[in-house]
Amino acid sequence: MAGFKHLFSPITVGRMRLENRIVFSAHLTNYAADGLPGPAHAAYYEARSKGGAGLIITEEHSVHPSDWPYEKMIHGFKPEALPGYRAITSAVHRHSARIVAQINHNGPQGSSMYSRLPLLGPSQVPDPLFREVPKEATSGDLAEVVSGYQLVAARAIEGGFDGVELQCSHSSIVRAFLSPASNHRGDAYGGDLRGRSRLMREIVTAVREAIGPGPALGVRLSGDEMIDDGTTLDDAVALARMLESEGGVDYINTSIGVATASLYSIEASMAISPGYALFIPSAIRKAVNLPVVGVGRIKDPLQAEKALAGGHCDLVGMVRAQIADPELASKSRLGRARDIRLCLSCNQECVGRVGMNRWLGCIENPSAGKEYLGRPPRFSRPSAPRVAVIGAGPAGCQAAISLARAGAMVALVEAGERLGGQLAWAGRVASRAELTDLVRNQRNELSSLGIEPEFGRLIRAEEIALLGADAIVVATGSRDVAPGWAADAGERTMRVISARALMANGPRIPAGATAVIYDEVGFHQGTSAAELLWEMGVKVHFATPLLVAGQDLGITLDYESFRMRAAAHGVQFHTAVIASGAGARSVSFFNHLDGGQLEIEADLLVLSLHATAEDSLFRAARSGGIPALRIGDALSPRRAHAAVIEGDRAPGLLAGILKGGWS
Amino acid sequence: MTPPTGSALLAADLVLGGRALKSRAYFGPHPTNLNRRNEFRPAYAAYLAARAAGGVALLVSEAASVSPDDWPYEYAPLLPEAAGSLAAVARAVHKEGSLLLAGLNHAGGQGSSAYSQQALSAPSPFAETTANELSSQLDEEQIEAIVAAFATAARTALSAGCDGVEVNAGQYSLIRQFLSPLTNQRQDRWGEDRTLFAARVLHGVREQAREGIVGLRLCVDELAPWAGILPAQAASIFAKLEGYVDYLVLERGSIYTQHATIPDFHDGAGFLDQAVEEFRGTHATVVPLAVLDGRVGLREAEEQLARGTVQLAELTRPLIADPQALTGLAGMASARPCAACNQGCQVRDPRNPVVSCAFNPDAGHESEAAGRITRAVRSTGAAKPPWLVAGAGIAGMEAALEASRLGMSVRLCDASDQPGGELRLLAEKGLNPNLAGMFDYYLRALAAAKVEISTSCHLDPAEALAHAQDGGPVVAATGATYSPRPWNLGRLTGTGPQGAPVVTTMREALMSPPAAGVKVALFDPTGGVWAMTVMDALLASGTAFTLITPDRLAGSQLAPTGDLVPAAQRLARAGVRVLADSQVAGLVPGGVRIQERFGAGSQIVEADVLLDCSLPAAPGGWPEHELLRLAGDALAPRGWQAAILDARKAVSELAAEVAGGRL
Repeated sequence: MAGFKHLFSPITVGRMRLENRIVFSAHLTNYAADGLPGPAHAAYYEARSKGGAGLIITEEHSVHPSDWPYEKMIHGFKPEALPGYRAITSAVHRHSARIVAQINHNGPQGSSMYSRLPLLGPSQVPDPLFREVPKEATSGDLAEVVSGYQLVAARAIEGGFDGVELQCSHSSIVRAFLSPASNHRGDAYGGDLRGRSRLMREIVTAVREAIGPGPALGVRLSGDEMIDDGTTLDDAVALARMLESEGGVDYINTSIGVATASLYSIEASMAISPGYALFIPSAIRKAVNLPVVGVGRIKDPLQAEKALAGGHCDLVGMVRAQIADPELASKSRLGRARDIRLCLSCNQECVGRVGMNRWLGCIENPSAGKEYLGRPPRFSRPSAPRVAVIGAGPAGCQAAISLARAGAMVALVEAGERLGGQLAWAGRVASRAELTDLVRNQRNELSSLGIEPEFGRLIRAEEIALLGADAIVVATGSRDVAPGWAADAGERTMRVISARALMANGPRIPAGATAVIYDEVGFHQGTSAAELLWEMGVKVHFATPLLVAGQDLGITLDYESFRMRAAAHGVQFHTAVIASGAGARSVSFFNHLDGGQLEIEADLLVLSLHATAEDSLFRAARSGGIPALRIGDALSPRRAHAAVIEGDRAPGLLAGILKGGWS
Repeated sequence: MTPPTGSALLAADLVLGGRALKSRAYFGPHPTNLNRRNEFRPAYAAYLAARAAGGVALLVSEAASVSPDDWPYEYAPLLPEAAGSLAAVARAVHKEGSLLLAGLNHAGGQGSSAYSQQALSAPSPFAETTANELSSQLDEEQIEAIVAAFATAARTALSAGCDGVEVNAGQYSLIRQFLSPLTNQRQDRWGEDRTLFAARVLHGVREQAREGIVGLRLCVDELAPWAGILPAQAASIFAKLEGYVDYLVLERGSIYTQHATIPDFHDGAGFLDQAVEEFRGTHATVVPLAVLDGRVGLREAEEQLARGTVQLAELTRPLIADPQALTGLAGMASARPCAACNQGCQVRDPRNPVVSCAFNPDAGHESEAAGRITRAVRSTGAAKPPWLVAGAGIAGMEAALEASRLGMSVRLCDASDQPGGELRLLAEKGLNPNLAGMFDYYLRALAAAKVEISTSCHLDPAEALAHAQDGGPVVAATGATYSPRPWNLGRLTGTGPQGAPVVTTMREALMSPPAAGVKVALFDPTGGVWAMTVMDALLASGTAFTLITPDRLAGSQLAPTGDLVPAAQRLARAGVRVLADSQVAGLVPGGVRIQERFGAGSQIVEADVLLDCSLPAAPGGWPEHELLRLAGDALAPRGWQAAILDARKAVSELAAEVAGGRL
């Protein structure tokens, strides 16, 4: 507590008193079904309120039928949204947080796919992501939109919200009007900042009129759109001043980037420094007296405290941090910061899933979005099984944690000398270092549960029975199998190594040497290997049969920054090529689009291929009649989220296998 | 319905499983996103019923998962949970005298773990290139469970009132994965006899569906000659399975060629002719056969039936395009043809678009369409001016037809010397041969509706306003203007320095393609179908070009139509240089300066012409009046479907205005 005195000092925003400065700011969840908020929303927000957040700002609610950019948007314009609002607010208000509804119209940053109506925009500038030409909004269209804001704001207050926030950044018709890049109008809604902000100011006035003086009203502004001709920091400061002087607004929230053109800057991955966007609230806070919210990859209470102490902001948005651990605030307040399950900013299951129209999850918190399912069941005491978990990678550690929480007696055995399996190595490059926070989190959780992993113990098939366990969980990971085409042709001077072995052992080739990375996986395995090599001064060729090198880095918003770093290090990319042979000092490929041949001379060939499940203990246990489960890579080599989910599912699956007491 | 003599399609002379079919038309299973995991919804029943009412004899429901571990896309029905609601679908189909079979499937390693959050499973582990998700190897117990699940699903489907089932061993199927050495490298009995799994499944299904029809969808060519199923092998496989089934559907494609099963028009019709011939040469099938071979014309289907190469006409896409297409054969009306464009009907897309048709927006929206007004009432009194439609592109032609359908007299005028707009331009280009038929359909429909067409008739906004003021409804559908778009071209203005390339647009390039020998730099910020059409035109005329795109790859948005990989192949084989992740930075004498998006690098691409594929804009300038509506590109440039929807909406709104007695 003493360590975070700024974080836990109350603040009054408008007439809304907040217990602390921790904000769970707005973000899409894709929990809506048929356009309406549901039980998943209520339980999700309640968990963060119960966990001690000061203020929750919900995901956006659409104010007009012409705005339906993604399938699972909440249709605030429908009266049927009201019961869902009441369910959310009453759940949140059972604890100390206050809750504000974000209301929005995405304008040209959308699609007519669902609405079958033309998009509305200030001018006919297609958004670079959605690529649909909007209709230039007429004054009649704008009047309808403004009254939609009034209607939905009033409904939110009727539904029990403590206020509303107007999204005027990221993805919004207001943002599009504010930005010279998309507003080319010659009428009163275009031109200088005053003209471009007219729509925003009309909405503020109309919404304040609709909700009355009591509820809080916030405005979220972008301080730098990171695009040509976009809104700048000077604009944002001027807009904040304008809002303050015209009245009606209780707080300013801030953001960076445009949700479509420069999303990688909004939800920056672990490759970008924490607090990278604090210069925006900092500048605005100097110009206005309204409370200002700062955001941008602030993932632990110390970073948040420093942002407040440094005067950058009055409140701190911590979204991903509280997705990963809903109890971040209360753990910080109670001096249990070590127990916080720190966010990795891996973006894999939150940003990545939501971008794919799937419900928001978390790589290390399988309960995120599933809070409505309630607490997991437990083994009943007399029949609590003794379980040996073999392998202490993310799957095995999670299994041990979840089994122990479910009341099982757990032994965790690891052949190596450390926790984390492949994750321990995957975080070896600077841009992926925070991935190892998953290992840190699991280590702390294991130790809180009193589980002491046994290291350096390799279990052989014949030893399974000696473990004395009622069941075993096989989490022994995967192994690399060299493909036939890479078999040694004799007299080879080129070394051949798997990406995993490279990460574990280092390159062991001199700077100035040339390496070929052949990547079939398309995720961070290959690109991190490239990064490790270029950092050592090795010249890198990156070859892949996929059409895009680092294809799935787009999902985690790492594509742009990876390509920037790769370009700076002169990496040469060869896409759509299939490796056909590895000679003495070269690798041959053919292009599967046009049949062209390619040969690259190299000192080192790094293979990033799909691995093979290491499940021999599972098969041995099964044939020996010992109840067994295989999880993570030992089931099928995939990404870390699968390992964690399967580890977390171990108690339920074992209960099924053992048919023991389970309630 | 008594078939006219000579219509092989409408002949009611085929008996399947003891049931007489009312025609030879077959409507196959396909994802629709109209259903939910646990429910076949009423909108889906209406979708199928419309096709049944149009004369289809045999319909197969959207392939449903037989067991919960298979969840290949979000709204893939799960048969055990959704079967109750299948009864209503069966009733709706039976009401029209047609038969409904339940599509049964397990997608195996070609599914997705995104929704089930369980590892995919397959005969042997493999990863498809797009999802890049490695499957786990099924064990004996799991295999037996899936075999049993197929049988249970068949029984459940029959109890729900279905007339039988169709089992998928074609694209996206576990059964094909077992049949093929490409995906089955097992050493056990399931690998020694790769048909064992299929035989066991079909045996179980046949047992449960003794009274019903059992169909099989089989892959005849995996397009992977190094290891995959080839036509002769498919025939040997089928020889072992034929005893279980009443009919056979052949299709092609496998794990590397998902796009090849239902390709768009680029592949031409009849692409399986040779494969089917080889198949028949190896095994003379006795059960009725249907083939997915790209044929979308009813006349071609009739010819095939008459020749006896097929006994069932696979007409899924044509009947999405026009559920009443078969009645056209009876000379009752002309059918709206299928363009094989795949722009509305291919919905295996994580955004979950509802199945529809680029040229028939009512498809998938049958319930809404049923609510459309069928006849407008015009206030009585003095003669009123006719309806005026300005612009005879697809929006204008559709508006004229719609107004005429409501009993209005319509004048359709176009500034050029022929009607048709961009549809005519593309029909004449012949890049998609089906568009000529589409244009012809409109001409015939307009003639049948006795719409007065005035060509070389330019209607300016002032005249339109005057007409509206006189009480004459006006639809303005004058299309888009193409001009280089500065925000995409690095704010290029003017013509650049002396000797700089000429800047041209998509429409200009289509109307008068650059002569062979002219060097073209083509800038495509859209990655879409339109730009690819222009590229196809250049390829057809032998014009060399360099493609510059800010995207990661060429044609980045083409995945939904299935043309992404084929387009990349066409470009690569024609030697087109693709500069991805690049922007146009400026014009220089003799070329275009290109800037890398993620690097400091820039280069000059030699060019005589810079072809800017930026999206066009609506020219604007139309006055606001209650009797004037904009439609299609004149409102906001989008695609065919939006133009048709706009036109119908405009007409319906104007009809309401007129009927509202405001005149």
